[in-house]
Amino acid sequence: MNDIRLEHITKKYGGNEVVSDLTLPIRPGERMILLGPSGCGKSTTLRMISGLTEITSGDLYMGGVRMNDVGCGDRNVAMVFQNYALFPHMTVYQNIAFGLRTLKLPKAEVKKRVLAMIETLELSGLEKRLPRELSGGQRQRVALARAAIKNAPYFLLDEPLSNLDVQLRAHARKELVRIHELNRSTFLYVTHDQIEAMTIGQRVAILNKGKLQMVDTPHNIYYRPANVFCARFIGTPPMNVFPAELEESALVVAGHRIRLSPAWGRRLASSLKGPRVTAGIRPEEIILRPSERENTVPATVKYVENYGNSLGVYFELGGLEMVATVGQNRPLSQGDALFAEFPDAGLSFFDPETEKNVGYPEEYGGENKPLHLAK
Amino acid sequence: MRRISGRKKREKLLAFVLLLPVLIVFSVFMFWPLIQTVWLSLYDWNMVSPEKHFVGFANYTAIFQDGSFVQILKNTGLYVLLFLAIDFAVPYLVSCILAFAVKKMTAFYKSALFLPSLLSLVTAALIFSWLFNPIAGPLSKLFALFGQRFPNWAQTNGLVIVVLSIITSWKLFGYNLIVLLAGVSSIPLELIETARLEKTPPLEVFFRIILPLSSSTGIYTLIITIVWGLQWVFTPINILTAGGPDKGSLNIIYEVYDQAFTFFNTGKASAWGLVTLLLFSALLFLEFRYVEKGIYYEN
Amino acid sequence: MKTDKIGRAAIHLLLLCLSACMVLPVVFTVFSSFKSVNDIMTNPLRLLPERFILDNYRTILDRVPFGVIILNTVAIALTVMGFKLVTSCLAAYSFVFLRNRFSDALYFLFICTMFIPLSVTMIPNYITISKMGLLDRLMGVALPQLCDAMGIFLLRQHFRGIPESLIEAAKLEKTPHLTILFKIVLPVAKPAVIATGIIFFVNSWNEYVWPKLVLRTEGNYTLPLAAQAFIGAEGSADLNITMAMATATLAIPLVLFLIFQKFIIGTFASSGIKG
Repeated sequence: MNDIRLEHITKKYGGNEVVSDLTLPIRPGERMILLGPSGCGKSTTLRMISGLTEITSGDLYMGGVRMNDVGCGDRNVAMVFQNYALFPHMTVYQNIAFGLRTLKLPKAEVKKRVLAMIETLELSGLEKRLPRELSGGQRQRVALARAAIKNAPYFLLDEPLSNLDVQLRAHARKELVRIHELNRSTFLYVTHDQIEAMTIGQRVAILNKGKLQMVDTPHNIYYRPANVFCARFIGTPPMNVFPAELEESALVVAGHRIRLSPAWGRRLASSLKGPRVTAGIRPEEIILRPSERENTVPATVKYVENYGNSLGVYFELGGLEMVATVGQNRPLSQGDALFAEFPDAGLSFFDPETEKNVGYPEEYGGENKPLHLAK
Repeated sequence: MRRISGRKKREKLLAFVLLLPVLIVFSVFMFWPLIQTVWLSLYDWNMVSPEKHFVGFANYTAIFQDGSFVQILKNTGLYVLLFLAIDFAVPYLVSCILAFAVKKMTAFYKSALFLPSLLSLVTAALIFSWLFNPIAGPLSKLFALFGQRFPNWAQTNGLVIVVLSIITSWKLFGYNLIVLLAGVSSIPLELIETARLEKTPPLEVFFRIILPLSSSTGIYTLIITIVWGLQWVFTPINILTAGGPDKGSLNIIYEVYDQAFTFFNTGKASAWGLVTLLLFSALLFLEFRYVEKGIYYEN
Repeated sequence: MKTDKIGRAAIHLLLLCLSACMVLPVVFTVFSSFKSVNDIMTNPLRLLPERFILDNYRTILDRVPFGVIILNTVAIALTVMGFKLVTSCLAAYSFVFLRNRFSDALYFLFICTMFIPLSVTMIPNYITISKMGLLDRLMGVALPQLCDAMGIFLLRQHFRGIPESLIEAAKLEKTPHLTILFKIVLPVAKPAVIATGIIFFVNSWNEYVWPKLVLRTEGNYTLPLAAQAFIGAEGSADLNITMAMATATLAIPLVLFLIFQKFIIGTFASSGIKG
């Protein structure tokens, strides 16, 4: 069983706490992403699991065995570094073969495995090249090959795609998943790129300032963010988050009243202590109408961004700036006076003090957003 | 599976073992001599007799009362000034030129200017004793063409130091140039170009931008120039003038040799050695303060 | 810095003059070594010999046991270079990849040796070597020079330039430290190691002060000592011989320099005293 359990893991440098009380169970064979902005502690966490960085306090279990004091060479971990860490004086063949050092196999067996891996990663013909003679994409594949060849139960990757051109990344993402399917190692992947996280990960753990924000499937991360940070970290453009007040069963936003469904009314009344609330709605959930309708608020277009297949419409509501994503079917320009509708199913609410998500009524799927309600 | 704590201990041990050979050699031939020099400076000994005669600080007072004390210090000062002029100021300016003002032939210049640094000071002494030969040397012939007489430098106070400095500086120049060039080259070109856009005169660019931003390399080179220059000039002195004329070319390094191996006065020699050491320690302090920590950081 | 064409030409002229000051003396010496005494005395400003003669070198071979002297110099230089390289590599590895507070203190101590003037070590080392019975022996010359703080400094700077992730990748494969040193660090730092080795060799070859103290009989001399004897005893009368001796002494370092100049200059240049 190659599961990983982090229990109350903390890392301090001097007085500076880089990772705080992190408890995270990682299932055997799953692809887990550690996602977060720079400095959130994701790389440090990865390095603690690999053994390259010491754990200040807490327990790390790998395969059920406590690993805090085990040397990094003994943890049976394969790792891909952000800058690939290819040995510049060794050929592609030698670099990949280096991954088999610990196994001490006979030369013929090494050759067999290395050549097989070279073929799997489409590096055929490059065996005798040195790293400086390779393109960025090729180097990345060599680094991957060196790590993958060990068939280790744990596979750690530290932002392995960040040095690749954007066009190469889509191809590389697929390759990574393919490698993972080959031996079902427990895959721990660090990135700050949400697209990589959402496309590669089976589960995503979001970290901010050393603290775990939430861990869940990409779907739930997107539709059921645990707090304001997660809500705004995922999604481009990010979720509109704004302060509002509850009055009977209506939401008052910058002087405008938006009627809420009774389901929301009940939910919010039971979850909140006062009338204040932090509301959120994703840009694609907002409906923009040319004329006033029931339960719409006036929205004056301030700025329009063209995303190719959609438009990002920045508008002002009272003093608040918001953005809605709409299709390209009608031309919009600055100054247009439109009306915005906020459908109940697309709303999220957060406690104004703790910023935690107060939850969703059963009518809208409760803890899981049903697929037929997702846009 | 090895535990980390055991492994850390073994790593510490390995770290120390790898340093052991150097530690042993340095202890025997560097640190122990230091102690011995201190000890010897308190005795009167001629290096051969089995008897040593304790005299306390008498050697030190003898140094200060020695008639040639002031002269030796003056000589040393002159050496230092000349070294700094030829081997610090000039290479600094040349390195700026090579880094920012010329694009072609830099490899040639670097090689040509570095060449003497790999040659022996004995060779340099031989070469320059011929070049500067006041009777038959090429330079004296050149002077004669202009109706001038080439001075008999080996017998002239002051000039003798100049010539010996030139010989030593010839060798030291290249090394300093390369090191300073590396320091100056690390300054981003954009900073220089910004100043040039403001029509800043080159000298001001040098003093207000280049100098501060390459200061730790500069200080390192300054210190090395003094430390190495004073020691390297020993060879030409020994070969060409033996400290003459009449102590005219002696410096604090050579005096030790003179006292020990010409006059067999190890006590006084060691005292002089310690005085030198104190001076160099002050330089070492400067080195650690300014070089290992770095002075200016680019924001 | 953009300078106009005239300014540019002037700068190049200045640099060429400076280069001439550095190179011409050597060129002069080499050519003079093929001149006869009369040639040198009558035409001191002329570069090329009137007639190329090899007599000067023959005289040297007659007067000094040249072969033995070269062997002495080579033996000492190779020994010193070898020891310095090995000890410096091991020490640099320790300082960079096995760093701890204790080794930081030792590094400070080692750098201090660069500031101990030879006037302090001269006498005690002479006493030590003579007590060991190694006076007038090649070993006596080599022994105090087996380690070099400058080399440790240079190699440490270069080892620091190796990306940490390379070492970490090796550590993840349970590679022991000495293997990392020999199979990864040294190959990657090869130019610096070679250049440092050459610098050690050349410095030992050029050494004068310490060999002069230790070696007494001519048969044990190193090249610089033998060369010096030509100035001391012969005076300026036999300038042609002196020039030949000087040429012989500078031949090997010059050749090494010409072959490896890119390495050597590069190593000093990238020793990275940043700032």
